[in-house]
Amino acid sequence: MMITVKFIFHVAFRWDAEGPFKPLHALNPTRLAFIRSTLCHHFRKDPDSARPFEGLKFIDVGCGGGILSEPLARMGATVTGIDAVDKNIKIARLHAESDPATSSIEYLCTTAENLVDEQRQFDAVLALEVIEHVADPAEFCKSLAALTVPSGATVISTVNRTMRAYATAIVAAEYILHWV
Amino acid sequence: MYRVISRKSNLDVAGLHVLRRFFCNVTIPEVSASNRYIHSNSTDKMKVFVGVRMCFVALLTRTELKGRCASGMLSKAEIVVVKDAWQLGSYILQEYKGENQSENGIQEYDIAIVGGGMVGMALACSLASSVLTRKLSVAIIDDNPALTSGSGINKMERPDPRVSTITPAAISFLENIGAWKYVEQQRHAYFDKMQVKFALFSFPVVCMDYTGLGYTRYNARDVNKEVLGCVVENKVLLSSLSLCMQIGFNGYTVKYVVHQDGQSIRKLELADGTNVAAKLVVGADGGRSRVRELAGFRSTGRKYPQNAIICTVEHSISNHCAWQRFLPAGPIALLPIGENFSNIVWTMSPKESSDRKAMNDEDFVKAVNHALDYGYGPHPQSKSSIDKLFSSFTSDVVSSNESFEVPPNAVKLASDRMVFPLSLVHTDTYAKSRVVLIGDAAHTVHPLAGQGVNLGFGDASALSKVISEGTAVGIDIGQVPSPRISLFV
Repeated sequence: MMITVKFIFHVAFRWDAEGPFKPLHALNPTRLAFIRSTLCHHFRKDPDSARPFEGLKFIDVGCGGGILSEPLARMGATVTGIDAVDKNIKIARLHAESDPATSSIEYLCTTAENLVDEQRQFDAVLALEVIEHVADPAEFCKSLAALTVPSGATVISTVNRTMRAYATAIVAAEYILHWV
Repeated sequence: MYRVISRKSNLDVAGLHVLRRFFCNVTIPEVSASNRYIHSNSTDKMKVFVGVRMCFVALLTRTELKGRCASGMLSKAEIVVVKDAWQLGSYILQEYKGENQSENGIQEYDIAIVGGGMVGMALACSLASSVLTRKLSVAIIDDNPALTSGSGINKMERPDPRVSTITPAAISFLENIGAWKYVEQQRHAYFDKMQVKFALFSFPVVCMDYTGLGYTRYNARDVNKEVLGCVVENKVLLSSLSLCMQIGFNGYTVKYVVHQDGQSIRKLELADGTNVAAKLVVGADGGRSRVRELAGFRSTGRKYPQNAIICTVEHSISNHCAWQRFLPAGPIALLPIGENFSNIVWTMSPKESSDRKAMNDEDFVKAVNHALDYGYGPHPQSKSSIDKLFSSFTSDVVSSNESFEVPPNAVKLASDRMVFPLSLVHTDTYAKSRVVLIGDAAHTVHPLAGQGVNLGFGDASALSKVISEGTAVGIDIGQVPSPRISLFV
């Protein structure tokens, strides 16, 4: 894969906490804290440990630049990140390589349905800020469920459905500013 | 019109002012010879990163944006000098291709604390004491060889004049990290009373107590506490923190990277290496912080037209009260340090300070006693008729029933006199990507309220908490946490 200076800047834009993806970076710590406490409770792991998810297999569906995948890997999980857009996967791979804690993340350019066909399963399946972009949400949920082991957990997040959320997140952030 | 900052690709130390216009990260050892912490023979290898402002607005915005966010891509803190953001991009590209290796290996750490003073060591202890951060690799970089010897202080020695007054909040922090018990094994002085007096009529009175008599007393029991604070010598604090690191945390990876003038950096526990790289650089290197200068932190402040003389004096009786008297030229403070000794911090004009440093010991002691008590009117009487009238309205605190006390006489000088210039410095921000300042590097204050190192301990505590929270959720510790925005509801 040819890495060019221009591509470096694409990666930089995606990962700049003050840049075009600022809202995503801003909500990351909050959702990570929630995921950490909920999944520690679910899998009966010690929340005071520095790497509570050691030994668990996670999948980040719609991983984008890997903004969720990398912290999960640092928390000890074996992470697979998938995204339908190849450019996102390239960005995520390049950024994850620089830190030994995250260089083991497996990034694939594929969809949840394809992985179901390959019969892969994971302890926790996470699809954050994805379902609102999917053509058939019900089918998507079925795929997510199929990817989860019987005692596992599926985590989905999406934008709230209030007028204020519509005004700020959908209209402003998505359509006008192209932030998310 | 925009000024082009620099087209030179070889920036020397003087040219580093351009860093103020741009964002940059720190490579610890590859800094020029004038840095008292790091000494490298290869100053030509110093690379510092700078952006050049172009003349057009659109280009300006894109260049700056790309430069700033591109530098966030460096997973290690480094200073890289480039002519423009595009050159920075090329440098990062070379990094990824592994073409930037120097001849000697680079030692990588999670956190590099530049400055092994009280605040830097307190941060290291605090990180070591928390379960979540205990496994981080930390390097403390300082040129003081005493850090590595770990010897205790000889109690028979007279008190060192460099002391700090530790507030109850800071005591609590030091207890939590496990260092305070070592302080209590060495010389220290709790005090539970404080008297502050103003030399009236020639100095604007800053606070009026209810009697309007120009003095105020505080007693710890006013607020149901045992002590108001503890006066401890700085070297006692430092050795306590150092002992805490060595004894309390055997499994903790802290390497003391000590440098000596004229030689390359020596590491104590590892084979020799010359480069240190870290995900997060903490500038705890004091009021003339090099990290602050190199990383381009802007600061405001001014030099005060005052110097402070500090020394230790001896009394014939023991003293458990902290005294401060505001004279026209500046305050004089008398702080108990234990065993009939007290510490003097006397602020005055630079001319007076050089005169008083040159005096012989007896004259100086006389001058100190004079400053503590004489001149500017009679002693205040503590109960006046007005006071009796008001006492029915004011709450009955312990100190209101205590009368004005004369500070104890200094009998003789027990140490050399040291003179320090005083200034105020405050940086615009304490944290940038991969670099954060704590202690005097971030904020230098006047010693009159005894808050300097306490603020530093507060910084260490806060930073340790932030790092701990970031590590808990797996976020890169070099990232500045962004403030929460209410966009997503």
